[in-house]
Amino acid sequence: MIKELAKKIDKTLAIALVSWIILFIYFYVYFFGHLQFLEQYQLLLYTDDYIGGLFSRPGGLSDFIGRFITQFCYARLTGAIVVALLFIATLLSSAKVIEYFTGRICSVRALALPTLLLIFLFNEYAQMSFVVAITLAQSLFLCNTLFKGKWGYSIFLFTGTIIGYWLIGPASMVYLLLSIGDVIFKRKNDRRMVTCCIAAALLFIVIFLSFRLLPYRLHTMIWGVDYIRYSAEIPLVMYGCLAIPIVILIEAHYTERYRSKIEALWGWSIGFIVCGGIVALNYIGASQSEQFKQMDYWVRCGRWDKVIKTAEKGPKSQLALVYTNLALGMEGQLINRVGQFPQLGTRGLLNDWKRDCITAIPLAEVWYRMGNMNTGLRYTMEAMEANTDFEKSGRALERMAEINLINGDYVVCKKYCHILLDSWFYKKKAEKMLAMIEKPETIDQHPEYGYMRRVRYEGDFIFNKYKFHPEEAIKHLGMQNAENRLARDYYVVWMQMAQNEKRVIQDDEQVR
Amino acid sequence: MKYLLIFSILLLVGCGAPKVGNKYSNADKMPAIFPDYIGVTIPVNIAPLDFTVEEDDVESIDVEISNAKAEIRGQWNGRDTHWDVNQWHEVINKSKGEELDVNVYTCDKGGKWKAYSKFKIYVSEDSIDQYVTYRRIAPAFETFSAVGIYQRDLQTFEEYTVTDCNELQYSCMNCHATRKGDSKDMVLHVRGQRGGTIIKKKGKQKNYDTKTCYNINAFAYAYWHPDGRYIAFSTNTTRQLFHAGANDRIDVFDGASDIQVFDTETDSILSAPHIHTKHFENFPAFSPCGKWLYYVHADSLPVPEKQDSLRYMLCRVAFDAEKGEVGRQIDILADMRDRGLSLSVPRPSPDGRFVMLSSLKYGNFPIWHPASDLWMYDIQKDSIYSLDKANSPYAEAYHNWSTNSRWAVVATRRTDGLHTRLCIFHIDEEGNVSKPFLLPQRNARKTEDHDLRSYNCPEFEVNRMEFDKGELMHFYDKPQQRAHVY
Repeated sequence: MIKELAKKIDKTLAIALVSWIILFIYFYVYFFGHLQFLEQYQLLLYTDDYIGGLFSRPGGLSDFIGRFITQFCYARLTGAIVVALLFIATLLSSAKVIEYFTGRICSVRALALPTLLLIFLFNEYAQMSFVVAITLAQSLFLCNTLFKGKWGYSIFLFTGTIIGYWLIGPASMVYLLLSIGDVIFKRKNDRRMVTCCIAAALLFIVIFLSFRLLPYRLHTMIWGVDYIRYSAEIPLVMYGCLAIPIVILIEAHYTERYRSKIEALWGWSIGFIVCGGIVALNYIGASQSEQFKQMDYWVRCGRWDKVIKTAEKGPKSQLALVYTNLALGMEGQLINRVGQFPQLGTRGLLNDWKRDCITAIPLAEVWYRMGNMNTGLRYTMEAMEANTDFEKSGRALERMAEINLINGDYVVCKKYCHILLDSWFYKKKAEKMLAMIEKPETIDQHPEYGYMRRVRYEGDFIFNKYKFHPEEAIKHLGMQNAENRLARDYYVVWMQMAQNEKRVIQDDEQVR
Repeated sequence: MKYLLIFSILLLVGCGAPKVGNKYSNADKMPAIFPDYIGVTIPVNIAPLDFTVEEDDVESIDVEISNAKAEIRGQWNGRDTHWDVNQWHEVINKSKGEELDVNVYTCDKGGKWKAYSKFKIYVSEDSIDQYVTYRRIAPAFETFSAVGIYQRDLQTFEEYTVTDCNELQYSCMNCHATRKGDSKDMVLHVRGQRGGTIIKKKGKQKNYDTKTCYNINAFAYAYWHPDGRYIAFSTNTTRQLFHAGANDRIDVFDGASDIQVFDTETDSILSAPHIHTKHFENFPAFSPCGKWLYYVHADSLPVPEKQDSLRYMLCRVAFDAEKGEVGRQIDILADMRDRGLSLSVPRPSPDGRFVMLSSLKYGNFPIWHPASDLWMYDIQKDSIYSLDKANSPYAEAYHNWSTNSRWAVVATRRTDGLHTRLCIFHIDEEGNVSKPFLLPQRNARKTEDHDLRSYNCPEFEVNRMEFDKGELMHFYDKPQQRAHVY
């Protein structure tokens, strides 16, 4: 018995360990930009108001755990470690559910759900809380299987459904569907089916009451408050993630007896290859945005050399090109090397803003680095305010604090810093900024802030989006301070590109 | 088990905040507190004035508020008072029309107590309306995220969500207005792709699409006629300008603006060509008797080129509610262009004596002008004066009167220069104002520091502002079923 158990554990642990290593490498080497991208649109605060706010709506626990995990994506290493662990938890809970239904230990079918969830994460609006919620729903079902008695089972099912909805959100439907599957395929008990039907009715009542009593739309109550940042469009893969545990158990129930006994090792090897292939195909499909996100990570770290290195494979999007040119400018190579990269004219220096949170970030970064503090502040704030789930952004708030520090608006800077103090990963920088406010001369001595203070635009002029001439702003910045090489280089390149654009238009007209 | 229980009780007793004894030193100064409630005049029914003591090295506080008739005392670990709501009301009710002395003691880490000079709070006999409704939105540039209309019970700390971005997703809500503070008659605009106007009359909701070929845009700033049949609206093509310098951020101006009077019984706009001109007319407001329509007017200039020369005057025009006619004679009541000031947001007092206004350097959007201040036009004396006591070095923008005309609320940037907060102040029958006090909040400093949203468009109400969820969703989901205006 013990030997058998040890064998089981060994097998499970081995699969888990191998999977974790594969996932860790994947997250660390390829997906770090995306993980950081997820992190920058949230700001987990350890305050009673913030955490209380999460728990005052359906899905509070999964939101909290999802955000807790996401905060580690601030750093490449911790993000890869923790997110890989989360996916292992999903894998193991899937394996256990399948084992419960089929008796097969470590069925390769367990790979299906984590694979779909990985594909879900490719969505720019995806939240980690959905992964957490699905994992918790499966775990809740596994707890339910421990109850053999009539009353214990019923009470757990009812409370699990209602409290489960409140804690993990609509993913509790997965728990309920698995419980119905349990009654149909395993327990084969009509009375328990009645219990399940009552639980289902209870769940719908709770969803409806939540809609009536809370300031949310019914759609949000069904699809989760925080599973996805833009809940107006539910990606197909989310339907798949919700359905897959049930589909697998039905498939397993009807096909298990006909399956030839493939060796587990072969089964898992093929499973890894197939699932890895699916994820890789998705990665290739999303390579444009993934390259930009990797660059965005390096920009955030101030590693301009890494941005250029990434760009040397060829910038795949306008946003990636904007970062490439910025990195060249920061390294003093813009004028010499701009021709080595395929350009898009002046749009490769300053991208278009599409009133969203993604395209605002490169604009904010370029204007900030050139010393146009107010425009940098504006686009940083746009990046935060255009966030479709109405959450604050740690990255944006930190930058807003920095700009206010540079501008000498210490009251507002302090306000932002006091908020950042309640987070884990932004705390240190906030403390540094608060210390600098106490000794303002240290701001002038700081390598970045001091430089920014010297080169920032000191006069004032008004511009609007209808008559905005960026080259004028860049020219002012470059002329104001000879130290501002970035602005001067940008101006030179801008004028060259504008001339080329003009020539292209003229040639085009001549050809016509 | 027994010992565990005793230990727990001892622990609980030990956790209580210490009281000041006879041994304390005198600081010989007023305590630094946030919000600054020193010397303020408060309504007899206001929520507890919780504050944070912002002195150095404070471990616990002991605060006593008393006069000959009543007393309340509390000790707390940390820097924040946390008054019991019922006890507080008992004390201020007994102190109606009198002063209260506030004694603050602080205890440092070493257990040493310090006493500060006492300060006074004056409890007015005038009560304030129970609710104030406001919009909360980040002081952002173009995009906005968490926006909502909220109602605060001024007697407690309770805040109710009227509606917010979670219900009306990705829409902006603004310009809510009630008739004489009664939420059963109200108007609310929603902007964005599914934008429209909700008008509730006697609690019955009707949804409108107010953009017509006659309008330059959908309805904006609203003001109810006291009889409840008409609503005056402005229609504006609002634009933004951005500053590159560090001291200013945004300018908001109108490309064009007009005033229209909407008849809620016939769903039609009254014809009034002289307040619908090539010039700029904005911020309409009916007088409490309903016979006048106040608004601000500026002569037409090319914008945005000359927007910093655009200065508005306070005007009025007669209104006949029985005939549904707007008069033709336009009276200029206050013109401060020679002083380099523009007037905006006229709000007549419900007693009909005053009109409170915002003044700013140019334009009509005071919130982005740090120098914008409150002014008062005395209708009886035909004079205008600055409300210096109520003003601060930062922007005072949107204001409103309580239904008894004795209190006003203003959205002001005085706490940090960026985020607007609500301040309330008393106004006597002669138009003299008292020192404003910040809307009371629990854990005052923490709340202030963590709130990144501005409070704006405040308005007093006597009852709860509520929407039926089904009707609200109908408004949002079925824009094609909205009534049109003619």
